[in-house]
Amino acid sequence: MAANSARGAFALTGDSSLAVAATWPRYVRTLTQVARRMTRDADEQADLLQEALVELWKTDPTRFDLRDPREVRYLKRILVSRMWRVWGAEGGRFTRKAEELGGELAAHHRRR
Amino acid sequence: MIRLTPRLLISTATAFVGLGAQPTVQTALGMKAGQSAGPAYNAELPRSWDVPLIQHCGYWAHYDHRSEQSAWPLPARASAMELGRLAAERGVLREDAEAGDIFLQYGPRRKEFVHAGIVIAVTGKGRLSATEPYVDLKTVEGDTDELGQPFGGAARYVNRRVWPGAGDRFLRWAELEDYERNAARASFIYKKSAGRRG
Repeated sequence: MAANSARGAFALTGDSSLAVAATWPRYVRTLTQVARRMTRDADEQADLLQEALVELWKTDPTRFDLRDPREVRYLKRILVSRMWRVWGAEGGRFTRKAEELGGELAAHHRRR
Repeated sequence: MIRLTPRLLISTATAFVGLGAQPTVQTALGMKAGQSAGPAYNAELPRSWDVPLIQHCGYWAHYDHRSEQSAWPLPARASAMELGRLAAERGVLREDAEAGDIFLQYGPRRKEFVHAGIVIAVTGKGRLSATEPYVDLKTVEGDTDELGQPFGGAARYVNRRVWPGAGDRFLRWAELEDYERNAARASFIYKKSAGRRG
């Protein structure tokens, strides 16, 4: 009886925090590709994905009608731009540019 | 007339939780729509039935069978966005929540309110950061799924964490009674002073 009522209560209750867990798999592949393009470092990639996940939680996917492709794309843009913002703010972009230019310059940039 | 009472809306809305399919709710709305001055939802059902559920509950929770009138102050067939506009115009759009308020969820892409529900209880308050307060709510929402996402096809309880920084607001409709009274009083005072000047 108790189990039935508990199951009933669950069936009638929504939880917007669960929506994050349900929405994340939809984006994780694309976001992983974006992170790989930003950096080759696996730890940095994981950090960037973590930032995107926090952003998804803060944005709250229940605000979007994810049947609408425009809403899906808009939410993806929010998550990707969060990753770029973090990447830029931490100087990663400049480090990568420096690495492309040459090892000595990259080392100089890291010392700074 | 029945006084505007949040508790009445909460108990009526709670009775709708568990109505799982849209046709069931439509039937329920249709049953009432045929009566006297009830709002005719079936003629023009909006895309989502989150706001119609609120309107239906509010209208019939405040329906006086002797006068055959409802004291419910919000217009039938309004969308979440229109409710927000009306609330802003009348000064009842709030950033803090109280039980019985109408919760208006902001959609960042459409840049307007996209979804609405009834606040059943405020279950917690806190701060995400120094400048960002949040509030935890239990709501009843129509056309919602088990994750609290729109167009889910059922009336459900939803647990939400809401922060005003994201654009969400609360419509304190119970204060519209005071608004009507104050508007009538202001109009009376204005006419009186205009009479004196004249």
